[in-house]
Amino acid sequence: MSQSSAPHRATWSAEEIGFLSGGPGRAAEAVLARLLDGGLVRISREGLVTAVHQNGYGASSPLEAYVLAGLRGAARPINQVVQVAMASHEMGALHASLVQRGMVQRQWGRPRGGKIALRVLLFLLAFVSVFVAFAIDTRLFLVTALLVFLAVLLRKPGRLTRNGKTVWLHALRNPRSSADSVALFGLRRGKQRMNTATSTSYIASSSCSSYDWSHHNCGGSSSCSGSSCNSSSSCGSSSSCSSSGSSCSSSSCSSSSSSCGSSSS
Amino acid sequence: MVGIKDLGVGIGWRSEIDLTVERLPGVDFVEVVAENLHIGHLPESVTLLLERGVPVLPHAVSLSLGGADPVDLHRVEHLGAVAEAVGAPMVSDHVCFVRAGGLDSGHLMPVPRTRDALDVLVANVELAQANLPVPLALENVAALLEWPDGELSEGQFLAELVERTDCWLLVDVANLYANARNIGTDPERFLDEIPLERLAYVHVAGGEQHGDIYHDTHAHAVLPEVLEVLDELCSRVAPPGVLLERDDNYPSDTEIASELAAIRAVVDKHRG
Repeated sequence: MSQSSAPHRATWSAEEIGFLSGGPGRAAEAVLARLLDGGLVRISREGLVTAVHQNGYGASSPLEAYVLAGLRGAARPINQVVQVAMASHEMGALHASLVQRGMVQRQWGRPRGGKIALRVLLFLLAFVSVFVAFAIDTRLFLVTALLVFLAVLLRKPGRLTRNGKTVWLHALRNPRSSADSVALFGLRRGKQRMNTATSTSYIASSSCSSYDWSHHNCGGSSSCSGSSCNSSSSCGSSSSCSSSGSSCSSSSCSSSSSSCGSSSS
Repeated sequence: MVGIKDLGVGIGWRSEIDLTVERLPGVDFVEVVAENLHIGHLPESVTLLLERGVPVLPHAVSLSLGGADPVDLHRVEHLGAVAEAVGAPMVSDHVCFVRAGGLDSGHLMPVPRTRDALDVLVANVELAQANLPVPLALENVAALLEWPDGELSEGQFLAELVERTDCWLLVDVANLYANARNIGTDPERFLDEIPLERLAYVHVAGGEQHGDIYHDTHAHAVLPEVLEVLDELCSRVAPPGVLLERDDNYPSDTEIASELAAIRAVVDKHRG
C-alpha cells in the first residue's frame, strides 16, 4: 500500500480506514468488525467477544492476530478488547505506518491540557473585552479581534494530512463492507448502516438487532466521541458455570451468584 | 412427563454463543446451567427462545446430591425457581458430590457405588424432589477413578436409584464413553442395566485423549465413538431428546450445525 499520487486508489484495510476516521479506538473497532465478518470471532448479546476456535488461523494483519491472541481461551467484553488493542504495539505500528505514508500527523491524541486552558482563557478575555470596548472605547475591539485570532491559531490541528483526508473521503463515499462501515462510523452507527453494506455475515447487524452497542464503554477510545460508544457498561465478568469437563463441576456456583468458574458434564 | 416426550435435538445454551444458538437451524430445545441464571433477570436470548416456543431445561451442577453433607435447600429452591421462570417441564443434576467437609471440589466427583452411598443419595434426591416443582433427572458422570469396595455396577446403581426415588435419567453418552476408556465401564452392559423407559434425554459432548486418559472436555469435536454409543442407545430406545454440550473453544456456526446434524442423523436412523 505504497503512497501514490492518488492514494485513495490503493487498497486500504478497514483498520487503516478506521484509524483515519477515528484513531486507534476506531481502528480497533474496525478490526473487531473485520474479524466478525471473517467468522473469526463472536460477539454475544451481552457484548462478550470470543474467538471462534480454528487454531489461530485467519488473521489478516498483525493487529487482528493480536486481538485473536488476546481472546484465546477467554471471553472478553468489547470495551476491553478495544482498549487493549488501542494500547498495543501493533496499533502503534499501524499509526507509524500511516505516518510514514503521509496519511496522518505524527501526533495523535487530544491537545494538552495547558493549550486547552489557554484557548478558553483567550476566549473569555475576548468576551470581556467586548463589554470593555462598549463601555470605554470601541477601538478596544481590536484587542477582541486579536484575542480571538490567537485562540483560533491555537485550535487543534487536523490529524489527517491532505492525502489522509482524500483516502478517508474516498472510503466514505465507497464503503466496501460492514467492516468499512464500522471503520467509518463506529460500532454503533456502523451497525445501523450495515444493512446496506455488502457483507451479510456480520453478526451484530444480521442477528443482533436488539443488541445495544451503547451499553459498552469504550473508555478513552478516540472512537467514543460521537457515535460509537458511551460510558455505561454492562460488560462484566465472562466467567460462569459451564457444563464442561468430564468431572468438573460447579461447586463454587451458588444459587445467588452468576459468576463461578466451574463446570460440569 | 407429558409434554416433553419428544424434545428433539438441542444444544446447551451458553452466553458466549447465544446468537449462534438463536440462529442455528434445527435447535429443538436448549439447556441452561441453572446456577448461571438470575430469577427475574433472564438473559435476553433465553427470553427470545422461550418466546419462540423453544423448551428451556435447567441443568444444575451444584446440588451435590451424592454428598454426605446436608442438601443445600437454597440451591434446590433456586433450581426450582429457574424451572418455573422458564416453564421447564423438568430439571436435572448429576449423580455426584461436589462438596465435603466445607470444601468445594470444583469437580463432579463420582460417588462410591456402595449401598450405604446409595442410601445417602436416595435420601438427598428425595429431599430435593420434595422441594422442586417439577420432576428431577439425574446424569451419570465421567469419572477418572472408581472408589474401592463398590458393590454395584454403575448401571445397577442408577437402576436402583430410579427404582427407589422415581427420578428420571439423563444419560450422557460421552461420559459413558469416557468411563469405558478410563475405568473400563462396559457401555452395552450399562445400557442393559438402566431402566431406559425412565430416560429423560441424552447428552453428547466432545473430548480428547491426553496420554492414557480420555478427557470429556466439552471443548473438542464429538468423536465418532461417542456417536456410536449414542447409536447403541438409540437401537434400544428412542430418546425423547438428545443435546449437544459445548462449553469452550467454540467452533464456527457451521461446525456446530454439523455436529447437531450428525446427532440428528443417528437419532433419525432408528426412527425410520
